[in-house]
Amino acid sequence: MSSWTFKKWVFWILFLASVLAVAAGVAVTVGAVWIPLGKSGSIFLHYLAGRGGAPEGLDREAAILLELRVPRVASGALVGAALALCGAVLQALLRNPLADPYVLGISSGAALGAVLAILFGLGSIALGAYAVPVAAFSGALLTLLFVYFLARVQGRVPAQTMLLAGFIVSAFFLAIIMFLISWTSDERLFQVTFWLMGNLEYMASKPLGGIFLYLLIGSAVLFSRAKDLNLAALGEETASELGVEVERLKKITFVSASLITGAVVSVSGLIGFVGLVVPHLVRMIWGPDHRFLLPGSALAGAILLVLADTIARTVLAPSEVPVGVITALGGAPFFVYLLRRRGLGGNS
Amino acid sequence: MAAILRAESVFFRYPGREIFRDLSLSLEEGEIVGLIGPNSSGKTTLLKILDGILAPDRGEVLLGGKKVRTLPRSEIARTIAVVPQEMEVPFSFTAGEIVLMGRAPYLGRFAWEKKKDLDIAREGMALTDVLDLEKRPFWELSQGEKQRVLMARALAQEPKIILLDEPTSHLDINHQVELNELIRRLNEDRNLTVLNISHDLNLAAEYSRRVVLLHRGALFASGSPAEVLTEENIRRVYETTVLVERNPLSGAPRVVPIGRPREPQALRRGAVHIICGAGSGIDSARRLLLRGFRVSLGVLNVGDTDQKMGKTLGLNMALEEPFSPISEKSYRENQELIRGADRIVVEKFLVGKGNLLNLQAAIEGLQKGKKVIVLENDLAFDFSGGEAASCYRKLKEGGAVFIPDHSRLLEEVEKDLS
Repeated sequence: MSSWTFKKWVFWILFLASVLAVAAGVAVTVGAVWIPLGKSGSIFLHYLAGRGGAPEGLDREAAILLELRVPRVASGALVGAALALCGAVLQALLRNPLADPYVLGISSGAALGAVLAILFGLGSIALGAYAVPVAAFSGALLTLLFVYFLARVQGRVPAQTMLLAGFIVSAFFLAIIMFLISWTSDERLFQVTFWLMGNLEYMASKPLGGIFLYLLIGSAVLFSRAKDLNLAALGEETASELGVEVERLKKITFVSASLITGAVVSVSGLIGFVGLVVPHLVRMIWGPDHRFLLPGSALAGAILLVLADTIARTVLAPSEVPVGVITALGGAPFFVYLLRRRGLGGNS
Repeated sequence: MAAILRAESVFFRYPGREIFRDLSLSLEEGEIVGLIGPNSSGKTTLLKILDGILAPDRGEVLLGGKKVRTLPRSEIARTIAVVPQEMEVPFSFTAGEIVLMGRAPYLGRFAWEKKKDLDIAREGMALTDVLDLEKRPFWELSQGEKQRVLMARALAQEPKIILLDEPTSHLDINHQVELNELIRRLNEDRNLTVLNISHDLNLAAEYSRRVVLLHRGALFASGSPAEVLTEENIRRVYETTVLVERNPLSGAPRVVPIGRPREPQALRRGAVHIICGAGSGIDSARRLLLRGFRVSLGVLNVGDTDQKMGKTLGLNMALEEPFSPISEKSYRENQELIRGADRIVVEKFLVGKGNLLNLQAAIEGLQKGKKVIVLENDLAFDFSGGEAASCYRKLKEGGAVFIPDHSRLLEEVEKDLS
């Protein structure tokens, strides 16, 4: 029988939210400048009370905290949550435990857009600092349309065709990116590489309200399909037999997850393994019911990326390691461990 | 009774392969229908069309009078439950969670299962004997356990119609019978309408009120098990020879496969005439046929078990009217068959005044130099007034070979045969 009751669900969601709060607390504390919780507490209170400036003698700490650390932690939480959520959704939708948010090729479209913008200096022509993310998001949208219509057969989008279409598109775009990189030799090469490895620096330097709202709406759509995703994980025909309008479900979730992924990739680059590993981790502990798996993965993804980014900022301080490198370094061995310990297939 | 689910002149093809051509089938409320047919005759496809999963190219499926393809899936799922042959789940859902998903068509988008849903799911699990599997991951279960869990899930849907795709193919005999009894009980108690795909013709015959035989995308026959499961129908559809008997307890037809009839090449091994009756000759005849002998029987009354079997196998027989004593004419026919035979086998059968002449014929064969093999007969029930015993004595004195049972039959038949 379902081990879930609403009470139990609330308890564990609150638990994960508290862990996220603790992780955020750690993340705003550590860094090149150590800001103890007492100090950051009084800065927050001062800020929340709506008084301008900073508490006495804490001007420097207040600036670091409010202008650098908090936006950075918030960015990490948003990106981590979005990637893990989309990973969980796509794993169910494609019935493939190896799926992640990048599997449908949306990310490579975004990457191509970003690389083109960097290499051809779009920023100096138009859009300024927003040039790269706008180009990346456009790339993601075009890829979404492309993959969708490529995968469509007689008005249906079979999961396997979608997977293949995504894979092919991804491979094709990556080839173009490689070609472009091979032609680049100046400092733009560094920019491109840095973008591709994924980092939160750019996102944290911009206002977060818009993207927060965007991700919130997208996540709400996905959360609302959690029960249908449980059934979809049993197979499309089974889901139909149990009352799900499968084609509609696939279209809504596929498009929502792609739009979320496209936006996140556009502002943070390719941060790997969060979307792949976190859903497995949550399933291992709490089971595969998507009513918990989706919000649980979002929270766990937020926690993980906030911690990973803290490491990225501090391990070689004052210089910074791209957070995508940290998640891959931690995520890959962990994934191997999962694979060896439990097996991810259906028959282990 | 009214048609609760009907397919009206359905056409359906997969790319490059036509499955149905103008097929109509209607399920009456409260029916148990067994759907049989050879591999790839379209049984599973028909089930998916009836459930609205597959759309027919032409034709319509009506559920309670409404076009099934226009109904919301959740409404269909509250009416029709499907028990698939197999289901692979890539994630570690427990058996209990799988069963509870049968309640999904009753739940709102954000609702959690209530106690009532849990109770209904538990009842389904109790009925299919899977309560103790509740916490086990579905993917760890055996095929048979999975089938029972899927049946429990179907019950949790509280359907009016249940479509089963070989629900017992992986079950042991105990659970096979239990599941079929369960289906019958639900049919009686809740007026559940059942369509059951089966490869087991005997289970289909036993538990179906009506049997539908599919052949090459068309309805070949539909009717009571006895009407549909005839030797002729099965020979034409399955291209194999069977014997149709009756289950002595239930009266349902019972299909016994006996393979394809032998071609005349069998003549090479020689000919054996079997004197038998009431089913005593079936075993020997089949074994001798398989060894390549030409087999004849006689004298048998029309309607006798051995006669029916002989007819199915296409054997030469000397025949007499039902329940009549052996006449001059049939006796002569029997003598003809004996003359053409290399060996004569006398089975252990009940001897009475009517068929005493069969023993007489064996004695004559012996006197003409034929080897006669006799199954020992204690004549515990002698209806011939002692004459049978004297016949057996004559056979023994004349040099017939007596064997206690069939174990040495082939050996004795083949001995000294060129």
